[in-house]
Amino acid sequence: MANSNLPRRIIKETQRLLSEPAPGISASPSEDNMRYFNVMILGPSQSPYEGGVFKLELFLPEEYPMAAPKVRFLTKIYHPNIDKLGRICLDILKDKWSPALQIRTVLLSIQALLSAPNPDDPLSENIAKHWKSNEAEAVETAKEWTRLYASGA
Amino acid sequence: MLVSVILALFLPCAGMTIVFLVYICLICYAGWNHRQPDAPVKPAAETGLSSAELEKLPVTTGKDLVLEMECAVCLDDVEPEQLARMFPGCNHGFHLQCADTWLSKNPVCPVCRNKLDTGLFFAPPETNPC
Repeated sequence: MANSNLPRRIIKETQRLLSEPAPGISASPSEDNMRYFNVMILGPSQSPYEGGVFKLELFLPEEYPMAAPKVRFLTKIYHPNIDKLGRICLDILKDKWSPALQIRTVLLSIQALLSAPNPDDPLSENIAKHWKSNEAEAVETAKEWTRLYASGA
Repeated sequence: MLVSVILALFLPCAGMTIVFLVYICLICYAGWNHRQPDAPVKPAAETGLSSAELEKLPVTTGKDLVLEMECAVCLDDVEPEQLARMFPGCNHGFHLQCADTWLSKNPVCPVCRNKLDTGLFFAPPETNPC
């Protein structure tokens, strides 16, 4: 079973995540695979995602912490750095990964990305184009999607 | 009659030979172009350190670490008697094994991303000012 050989680091991180959760973030391991986490991030205030509850999945690959966790949005979101499959364009999940980063820091970075969309490094070309040509309208769409898909109901 | 028979045999053979030669030339050309980007040998610093290079790095023990006691890679404390790596420049310390596993992939400090100045350790002896 995948859980029998779980590195101590993953056990420690999981315990800390559960005992001292970061504000606006919850992450709990799946019962049958301790490397798979169900994650919820609250849309940051002052952002178009405010009031939204976003579900994500996070998976720790075999090489973790030498390789980055794999994270994906499950909730539909209108954001220039997140594509329609929920994949996230974030440097620390790719070439800027470091083993000193943790599940908590990765999720905090994703939460920060919601507060600071970066249309100059897009994953969704169309959304980025929208963001750059008419930011007010794009923000309205993002708010609308938050109401439609991330209301937490 | 004889000439036309010879031509009928010779022309297709000649044609196929030309096509074949052009094909070979194209393969060589494509192969050559493909190889070009890889041609410059990447310095080891960009791909991670080899075990020979890792051996040249200074080793210390937990009691000599000047900053944190907790190894940021495995989240366990570096005990005073355990072997450790302290990064020159930033002085961040890790278990020897933890540091080397990472350095063999990427020679930067896990905490501050300070690039390990491999020149300090791997410079050929003749460049040594001493």
